[in-house]
Amino acid sequence: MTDTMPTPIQPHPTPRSVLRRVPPIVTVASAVAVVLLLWAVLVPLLNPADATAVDPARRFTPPGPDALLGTDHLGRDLASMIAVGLRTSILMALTVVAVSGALGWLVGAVGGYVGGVTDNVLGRLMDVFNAFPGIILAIALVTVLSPSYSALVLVLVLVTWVNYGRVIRARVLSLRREEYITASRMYGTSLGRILGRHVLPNTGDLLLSISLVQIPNVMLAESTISFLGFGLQPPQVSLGLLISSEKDYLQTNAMPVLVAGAVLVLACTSIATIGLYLRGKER
Amino acid sequence: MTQVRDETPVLDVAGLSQRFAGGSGHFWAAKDVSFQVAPAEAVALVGESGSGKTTVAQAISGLQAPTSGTVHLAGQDVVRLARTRRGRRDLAGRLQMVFQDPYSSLDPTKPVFQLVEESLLLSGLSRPQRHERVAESLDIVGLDPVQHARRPRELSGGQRQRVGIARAIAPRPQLLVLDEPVASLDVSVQGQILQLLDDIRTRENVAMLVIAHDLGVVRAIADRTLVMYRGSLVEGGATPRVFAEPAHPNTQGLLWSATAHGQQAMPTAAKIALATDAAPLPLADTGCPFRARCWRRTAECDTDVARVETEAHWFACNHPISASEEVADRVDVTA
Repeated sequence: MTDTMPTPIQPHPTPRSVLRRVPPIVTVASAVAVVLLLWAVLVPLLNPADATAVDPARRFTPPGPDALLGTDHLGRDLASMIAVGLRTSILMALTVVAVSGALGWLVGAVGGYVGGVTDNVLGRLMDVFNAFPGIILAIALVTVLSPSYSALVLVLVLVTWVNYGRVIRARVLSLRREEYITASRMYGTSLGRILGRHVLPNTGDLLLSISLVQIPNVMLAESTISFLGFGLQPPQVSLGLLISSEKDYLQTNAMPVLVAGAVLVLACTSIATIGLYLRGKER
Repeated sequence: MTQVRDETPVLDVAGLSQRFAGGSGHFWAAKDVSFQVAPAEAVALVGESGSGKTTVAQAISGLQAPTSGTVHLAGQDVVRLARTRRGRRDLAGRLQMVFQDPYSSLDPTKPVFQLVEESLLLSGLSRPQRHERVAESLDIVGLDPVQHARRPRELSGGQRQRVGIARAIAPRPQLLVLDEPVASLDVSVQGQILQLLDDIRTRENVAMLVIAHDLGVVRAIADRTLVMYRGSLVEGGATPRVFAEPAHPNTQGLLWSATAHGQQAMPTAAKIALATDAAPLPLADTGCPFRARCWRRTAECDTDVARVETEAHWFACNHPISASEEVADRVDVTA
């Protein structure tokens, strides 16, 4: 009975063996992401609560023990502003990704699984959303809805869910031909249960890797829209808003724009690098 | 087999036809297929690729409604049952399928125990009852508890197929439909799985319909063999009889090509005829479906085909190969 003998199982990867296989660029990106995350979480805890309050007496304070990175033209502590901006950015990105992931997954999975007219209608719907250039559509919509946090979330969901829908649909098209799905159908399992029991677990890897690419996209989109004045409004704090309000003082006090810009770029590229690495590993 | 034919059949397929649209118009994937399977009987459906075996299996399992004809499972109309989800749940308790590909037939994200339980989830059994059944089924197929928590990728092909068989027998069905159950397994493992299936048939008293292209598999497991060509049944009978004295040229051709020795022994005329590419037949065709590739055909094969029935053996051919005829190395092929 050779086939009932326990088969040799791949040894479980130890943390060290995983690290050895990860390309250095991904290690660096992960380190950067962790540092930025710590910044977002820890700096506001260390600084006084009113560090982001407007204080004309403290405008343009140079970096020092009082303000680690100096202050902006309204006297707000730059390190704290960036921490709060990062929080806003990350929280919004996570919210948008969660909602658009759920919506895109549902539309893609139902379309791909059910097929026929349903798939055609949902497919055309995705084509329509895909045809518009995302950021332009977002600006147009958020202007109509009047700029606010929730309007921005809604709009970003509308321009990102298609990225999930299309990929999930393609995967489900091949999944539904798998014999375990056929078997499940034979047992009289309902559509909802098949989607939940088989399709969701077998598309989880895609959800994760798309999300890791979408998070930096959403962060960048939020900053862009806020920078242009269509997104978050003061006194809300966002990296885009910070760059926007400080750009007029670029020649005299370049620190806020440079640091906020660098943080935004580092945050987006590090998460995108990790995401692309994970996506490439699946193939 | 003849002695079990008198009992009420588990499966009764009558006049089953399935029309599909192909590249060059419509064609019959199954044409007027009729046969029965008695309780605890193992019947094999053989034929080359595209002969319609899988189409018949799908109609029987309720996966695809036939164009015409009926399928009854223990007196219940399968086509009607398969239309509703409730009906399919009912059907799943009587008929289960073992799939060809043990990779694609098991959800890679689920552990073995859950995979087997899947066929019982909608059976109305309580959780403890289900778990008891699952453990029992896994024991029958020879998977020890160590393996219950493993996922398919941690199992060998043979072990996966055992999981697929455990899943199929867990609801204690009356009929198992096995679609090429060992075709994707190593030769060394094939024998073990066939032995297991044979044991299960005796132990669980379950009827089996085995779809196969490998005649070795059929001989090992089936009481009765049905040969299909282009959607039509062309010959059928007790397995030893069909193998020892095939009457239909298509059956003889399959037997020849099953072994290297048989291929050498094949007469040149048959070799040339069997290698011919046959054009699809029009829907209204009444002649022998095999005629384009037959080395024994005559003009009458274009319009008519004679059906000959003897005890434990029947065939549809105008020019059957008779038992007394010298056919090269027939014995050797079936030994």
